[in-house]
Amino acid sequence: MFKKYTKIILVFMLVMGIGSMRVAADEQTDGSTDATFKISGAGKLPSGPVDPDHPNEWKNPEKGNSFALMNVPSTIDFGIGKIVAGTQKLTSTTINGNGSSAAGSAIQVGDLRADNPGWSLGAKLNSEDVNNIIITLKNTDVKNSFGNKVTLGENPITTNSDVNILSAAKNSGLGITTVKLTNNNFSLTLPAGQSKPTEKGQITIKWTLSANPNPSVTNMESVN
Amino acid sequence: MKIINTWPLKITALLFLLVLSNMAPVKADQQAPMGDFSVKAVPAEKQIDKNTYYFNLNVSKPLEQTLKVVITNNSNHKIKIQQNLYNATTGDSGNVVYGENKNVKHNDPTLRFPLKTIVSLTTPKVIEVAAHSSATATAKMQAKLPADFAGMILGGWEFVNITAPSDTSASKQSGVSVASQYAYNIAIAMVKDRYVTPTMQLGTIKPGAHNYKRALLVNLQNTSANLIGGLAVNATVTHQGSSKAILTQNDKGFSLAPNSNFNYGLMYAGKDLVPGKYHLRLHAQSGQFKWDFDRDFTITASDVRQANKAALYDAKPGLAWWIIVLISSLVIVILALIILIIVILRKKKPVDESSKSVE
Repeated sequence: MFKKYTKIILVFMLVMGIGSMRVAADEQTDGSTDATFKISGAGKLPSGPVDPDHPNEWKNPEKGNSFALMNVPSTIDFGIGKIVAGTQKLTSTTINGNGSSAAGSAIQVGDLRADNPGWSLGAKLNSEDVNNIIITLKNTDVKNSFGNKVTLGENPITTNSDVNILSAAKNSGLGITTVKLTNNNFSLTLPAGQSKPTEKGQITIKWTLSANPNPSVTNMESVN
Repeated sequence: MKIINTWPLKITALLFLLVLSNMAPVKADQQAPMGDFSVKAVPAEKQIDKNTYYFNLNVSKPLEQTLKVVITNNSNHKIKIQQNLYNATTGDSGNVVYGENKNVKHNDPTLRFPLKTIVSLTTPKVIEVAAHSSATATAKMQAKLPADFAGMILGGWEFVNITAPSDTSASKQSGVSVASQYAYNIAIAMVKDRYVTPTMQLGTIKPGAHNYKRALLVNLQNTSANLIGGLAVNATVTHQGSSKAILTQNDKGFSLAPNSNFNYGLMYAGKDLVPGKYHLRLHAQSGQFKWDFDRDFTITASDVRQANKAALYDAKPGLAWWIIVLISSLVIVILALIILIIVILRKKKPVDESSKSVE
């Protein structure tokens, strides 16, 4: 009898010990995004960005139906334009993220949908005062935690309509897809005569994650 | 004995579950970026494939139903989500656009049943979602399509987080700064009877600007009620009666929305845009479907002027070689003349001076 109770008590103590240690670990990292790359539940994505240098954590995620635009830069600064006669091209000087970690300034899409239907991430500029601006993303590459091939688009972002920045065909979108950014990855082209077109917030990039037919072929089936 | 052996296991499992369920909320309270919301389509009745995550409806028979999208806010503050419905169009980079497209001023003339005439929002355009909760956006669809129509009707249901950023105090710096907005778009596709055979037409060919750079704009039109996917386009421009290519361009992975058109941009990429008579040969292919277009066209001097004006971000057109030759030969001739004059004057001067000294 004595042996039986000791066993139970020992197991109880052990479990509580591990449990409280983990909770403590999570509290310590409060405010940074590092704590978020642990899987919190079946098929659920973490809230906020995942450290792009630790994609291994997501090599074998549990599938469910989570699908989210996890992160984009909060603001991109281009410095101060000069008054020049012609057009000018500015290179980004700072990419500001969400939170303090490097993950906060990455472009990140999470997809744990069991059927792996593919997706696309579009971008469009919204600007009320300044027309004819373009923003280009350059010198980056895309990584998928699952080793899937996600395509990075190179079309300039304009005020006209969405262009595809990332697109994953059917069966190739699963996992966490990250475009890691460094400060000079964006360029902005301004038309002649517009040197200082914005105050903060006047130009925005709208990043749209789409669930859509995402076609690589033309469908010809009957539906009846 | 058996009971004694399994007890610890059971208790361990129970305790583990308890500990795990207690841990989850700790994580959720961490600071959340603006993107901490997601949307999910509730599979509708008459869904062709329940697992597409967008609305994919069979409208072979008249169909009236409510479409639902659940908006989940995982953050610790209230968010404002703005909804919009759009007809699917094609963007100038050869992609289906499910949101706003400023290049499309009118629906394509072949579009008989725009999605926006079939589906309408039934919840307010702006929905507020409290912290750590969800809300449901609904739309009503009424599809009653005539017997002579078959094919696909396509559009998008957009959800944009328009919540003002909480850190408005953050450095209002004097330079150029670009902010981000998070949005989702869930496609609404309806198919009556079948996916029809795709058809394509070549529209106008005119020089202009693509992404503010000089290009030959070739209008391609999907005249069928089907989405053309995986489209490859190979285009060549020659002078009429010549086989020497002036422009060639190969693209792949295009997709065209049902009953839409877009201006395919053949880039001049530093080459000059010269008035004249030209010929376009364009081959387009999506799987087993192929289209070949051959057409003569003319570029006028006024076309060139307008295109150069629209090409805001192109270097100004270079000078033609014969102008350069002409200008340089003129400069040489003028220089030669100047030297000649100087030489003549020099020769004359000593004579003048000597005559002076004599006096």
